[in-house]
Amino acid sequence: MDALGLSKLRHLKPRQLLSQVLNFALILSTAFMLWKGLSVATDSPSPIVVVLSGSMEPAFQRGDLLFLWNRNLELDSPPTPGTRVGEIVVYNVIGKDIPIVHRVVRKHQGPKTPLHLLTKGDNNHADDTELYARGRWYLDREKEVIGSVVGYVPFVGYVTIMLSEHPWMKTALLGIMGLLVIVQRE
Amino acid sequence: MHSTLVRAQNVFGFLTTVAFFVAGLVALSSLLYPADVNVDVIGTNNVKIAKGRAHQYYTSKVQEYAVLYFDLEADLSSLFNWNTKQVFAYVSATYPGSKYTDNEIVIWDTILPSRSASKLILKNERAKYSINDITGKFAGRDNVTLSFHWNVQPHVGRLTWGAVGLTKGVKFPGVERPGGKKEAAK
Amino acid sequence: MDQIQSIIDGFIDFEGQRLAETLTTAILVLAGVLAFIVGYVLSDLKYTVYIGLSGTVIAFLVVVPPWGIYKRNPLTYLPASGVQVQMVDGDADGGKEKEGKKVK
Repeated sequence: MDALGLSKLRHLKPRQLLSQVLNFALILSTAFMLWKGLSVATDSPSPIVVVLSGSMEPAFQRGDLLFLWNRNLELDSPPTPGTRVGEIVVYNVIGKDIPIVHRVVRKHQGPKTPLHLLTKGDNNHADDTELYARGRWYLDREKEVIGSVVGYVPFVGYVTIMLSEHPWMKTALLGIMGLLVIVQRE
Repeated sequence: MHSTLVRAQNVFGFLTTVAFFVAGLVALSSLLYPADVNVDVIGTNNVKIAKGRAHQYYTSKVQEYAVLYFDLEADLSSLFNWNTKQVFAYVSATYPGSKYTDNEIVIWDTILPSRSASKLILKNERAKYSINDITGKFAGRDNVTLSFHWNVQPHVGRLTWGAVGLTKGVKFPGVERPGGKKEAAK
Repeated sequence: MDQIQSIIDGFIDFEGQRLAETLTTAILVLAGVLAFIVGYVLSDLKYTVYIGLSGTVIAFLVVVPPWGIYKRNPLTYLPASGVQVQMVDGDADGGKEKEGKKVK
């Protein structure tokens, strides 16, 4: 047992280790670049979001992945500028952390006013007025909305929900990986 | 592929590639089913303006509400294919104004989960949502048009919207006062 | 204990590895193609999902455990002839290998 441990230490080469760390860093930074590139293309700070609540059922379930586009969707021809009612937007209420995905039910725009939007979840009876910041009855499209949903993939995001809501799973995952490293006879 | 772990990783990796391709093909297949929606009838039947304070938290001012009944006949069955998860259909009212020149509000919506529910026949349907304006004034508004929209939610892929059936501009009456005298606001 | 260790390791010979690789590709691609076609023709995504999932399960069951068919061509080593070789220290020495003393 002792001989085994010592021989493994001898095989620990610092240059090889550093090269592996560099490889890992390259992968991480490529992923980061892809994310930021997508962010710039869609003009949204968070171009891919995971559905967290059931307020848009039966359309979206918890764990679904949504792709956002923050430039104009241009739904008609000729295209009407600005967000239209019926679009599904993701917004961050100023002061609160969680982004909300709901459908636009009202829109008011004037030449000197920002674009006001009212939203409501399909599965909710009432509109979102209670969720907005104090004293605000409408959303400001520029300041609070981070994008409109254009694409959808089911289930894929559920892993992130499980990991964030059950932190013991992260420990369990690391434990399993560690166990595999020990058990492996390479 | 020399050990169990490596084989399991390989199978899982290739599986995600195959799943990605199949999902992509399913999403693309939606393009093979173009929308062909017919709206036979759409029109406003009966409009009355009433003053009141219906479940509003944003102001204690009395608002002017429009009580509206409409007809609609539409066949949305062409929107349902193997990649359709649900169709969200809604009727919206668009009207101009002075401070807010561009207004659109949803007055009615429904969720169609399958093709069997895709033929809509509504007679004298009452608007589902309270119709009031951000300025609180609705009486005597001119050039109010109703339009019918749909939003196809796929199982995987891109969300699509469509609109059809614009009514002619309708002028809303003034507020009904006891004694039959009608009064128009701005 | 040794048997369990060998199952967990799951070492298979080279011909077996080639077979496992071919089977992985074949089963998963077939499952994918079938899933899409059946679902498209029957116009119901349910079939796509079920066929895809079944294909995945089959692929895992067939390829991952170290079945006997993967061990049919084991490497044949030369018989041990009592040669004693001194341990070489890593590979950073670059050529200076110490030859062992042959003992008859």
